[in-house]
Amino acid sequence: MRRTVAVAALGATSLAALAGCTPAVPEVATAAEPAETAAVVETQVDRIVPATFEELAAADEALDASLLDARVTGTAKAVRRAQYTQADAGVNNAVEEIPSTLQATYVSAATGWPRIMAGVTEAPEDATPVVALWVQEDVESDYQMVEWAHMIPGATLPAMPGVATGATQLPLDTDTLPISPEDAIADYVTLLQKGAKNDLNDQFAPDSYRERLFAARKVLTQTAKKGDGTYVDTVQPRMDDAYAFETADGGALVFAPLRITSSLAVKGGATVSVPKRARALADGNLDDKVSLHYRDFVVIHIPADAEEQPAVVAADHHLIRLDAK
Amino acid sequence: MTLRTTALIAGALGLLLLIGGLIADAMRPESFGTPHASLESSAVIVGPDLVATAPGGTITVEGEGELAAHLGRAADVEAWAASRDASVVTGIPTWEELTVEPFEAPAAADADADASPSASGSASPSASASPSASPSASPDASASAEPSAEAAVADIWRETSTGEGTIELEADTLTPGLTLAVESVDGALTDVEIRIDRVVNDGWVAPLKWWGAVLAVFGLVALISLLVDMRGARSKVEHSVAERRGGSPARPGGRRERREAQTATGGIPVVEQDAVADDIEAEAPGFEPVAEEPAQEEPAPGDDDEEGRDRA
Repeated sequence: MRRTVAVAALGATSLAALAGCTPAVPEVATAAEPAETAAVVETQVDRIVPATFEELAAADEALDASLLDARVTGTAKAVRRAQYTQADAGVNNAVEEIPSTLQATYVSAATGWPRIMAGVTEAPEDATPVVALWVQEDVESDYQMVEWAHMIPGATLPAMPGVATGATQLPLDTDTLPISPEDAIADYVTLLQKGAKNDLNDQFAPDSYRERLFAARKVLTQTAKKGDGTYVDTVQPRMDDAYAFETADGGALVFAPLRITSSLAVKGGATVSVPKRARALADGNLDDKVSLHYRDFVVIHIPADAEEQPAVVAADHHLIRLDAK
Repeated sequence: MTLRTTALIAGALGLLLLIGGLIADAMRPESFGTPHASLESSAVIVGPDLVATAPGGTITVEGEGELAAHLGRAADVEAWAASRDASVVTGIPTWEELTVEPFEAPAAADADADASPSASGSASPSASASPSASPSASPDASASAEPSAEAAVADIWRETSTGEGTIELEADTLTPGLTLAVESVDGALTDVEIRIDRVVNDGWVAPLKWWGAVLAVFGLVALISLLVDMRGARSKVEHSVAERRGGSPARPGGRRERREAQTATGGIPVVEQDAVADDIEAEAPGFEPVAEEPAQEEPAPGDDDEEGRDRA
C-alpha cells in the first residue's frame, strides 16, 4: 500500500513538473498584410484570360454564339453573334480577330462587386491592339468579357497600378477628377449626338472614332436627302454598365459602353440599300427604312491634370442588328 | 555516518530520481499541440492570424466527401461565406481545443466603399497603342474546344486544393495575409485541427535520469559491499555459537564424546594409540597413526582454564 502511494506521489510530482514545462498556448498572432492586394493577381489572371479565349476560339470555330456562355457575355456575345451571322452569309473577315495574348492587364483593388478587369492584347494583323473589359458581377460569378474595342491609332493608355495592388474602381460621380467619369461620358455622348461643330468638340482630344462617325453621318445624311428622306443617329450612354479605374497619376480610365441607333428613311418609292455586311443582319427585306443598331464601346482617359483634355483611347462601332422595318 | 551508509542513501535517492525521470520521460508532452474542434457546417474559415500562429504547423480539416480548400482575400471569403452554412475558427483557448463560431456576415459590403480616392504608387508600364491604318480584323483560324481544367475554380480564389475526406495544409505554404476557407463539396465538415509546434521545457528530464542512474549505481555498489560484509559476520556468529556449545564438555567415554570424536574425524573410528599402536605398525607398515585426540577447533582465549579444570 505504501509503495503504491509512493509511486503515485512520484508520478504526480513528475506530472506536475511536466505541466510546468508545457508552454502556454500562443496568443493569436497578427498576420502580415498580403503582398498582393488586388482582387485578382497574376495567377488568377492566368486562369481567367486563357479560359476566355479558349471559349471564344471554340465559338469562333463553330460560328456558334451559344458556345459563349461562361466567359464571354453581354455586348461581346451580341457582337460576336452578329459577326457569326455575317460570316455565315459569306461576308469576308466578318469575325474580328482578338489576340489571346495580353500585353497589359489592369485589375481592380475593389472588395465589393461588380469588379472589372481590363486587358490590352497584342496588335492583331493590320489593326491596333484591342482593349477588352471583363466584369465579375458578384462573388459567385466568373469574370466575363463583356466589351472590347480597338485602340485609337496613335493613342496611349495611361500608366496604371500594377497587378499586385490593383487599381481603385472609381464611382462614376467621383469629384476627385477634373471631370467626373459620368460627366465625361455624358459630354462625349452629347458630342457624338450633336456633331463636330458642337462646343464640346474642343473639350476632348481629337480621335478617329468620332471623326469616322461624323463622316459616315454626313454621307448618310446626304444620301437620305437625295431620297427625300432623313438620317438620324441616336446615341445613348449605358451608364449602368460603365466603369472607371483610377490611373497611377490620379486620373481615370473610363469604360463607357454606348447604344447607337442609326435610322435611315427615304421616300418616293426609293429603297434603302446597305452593304452586304449590314444586310446579313437584316430581319427582313429592305424597303424604304432601316434602323441599324450598334453597341459601341469607348474608353476615355481623363488626365489628372485639368489642363489636359480627356481623350478617347479605344473605341469600336459594332453593328449587331438591322431592322428593315 | 560511514561512506557505505552515505552511498546507500544516495543510491535510494538516485533510484527515486531515476524512476521520476523515467515517468517524466514516458509522460513528456509532445513537441506540438493539436487543438481541434468539431464542426457541423459545410464550410470553415481560418483567418490569416490563426494561420500565422502556427508556423511550421499544419491545418487539417475532415469532412464528408470531397473537400476543397481555398485561399482568398478576407473580404472575398466573407462575401463567399455569407451565402453558406459556414463556421469560423476564432481562437485557441487551450492546447486541446479551438473555439469555433458560426460565421456571421459583416455589414453588407458596399462597392462604393472601394472608391477611395487614394492611388497606389506602384504602376505598371503603360501600354501604348500601335498606330494602324486599318481596324479590320482577320478571322482567327486557331481554335480549341478543350475546356479549361481549371474552369471549376472560382475566380475569387488565389489557390485551391482538393482532398477526399481529409485535407491537410502546411501553414508555411499558405500565402501570408490570405484567409483559408475549406468547404465540403457534397456534405458537411466534421473536424478542424491546427497543429502548432511548441517548445517543451523538458531539458531537466535527461539529466535527472542520468544522475539518478549514477547515484543508483553507487547505492548498488554499497549494497553489494554490505552483503559481502554480512557473510563474514555470519561466519563469526556461527563460530561463536559453536564455541558456546563447547562450554559443557562431554563425559569421557560417553556417547556424546564418541559422537563428537566421529564428527571430528569424519566418521573414521578412532582407537587409543597406546593399545593398538604396535599392532597397527606390525600389520600395516606405513600406516600413519591417527591423532590421539579428536580434532577440535582452536580453543578460544580463556579456554585454557576451563580445559585445565576438565583435566583436573
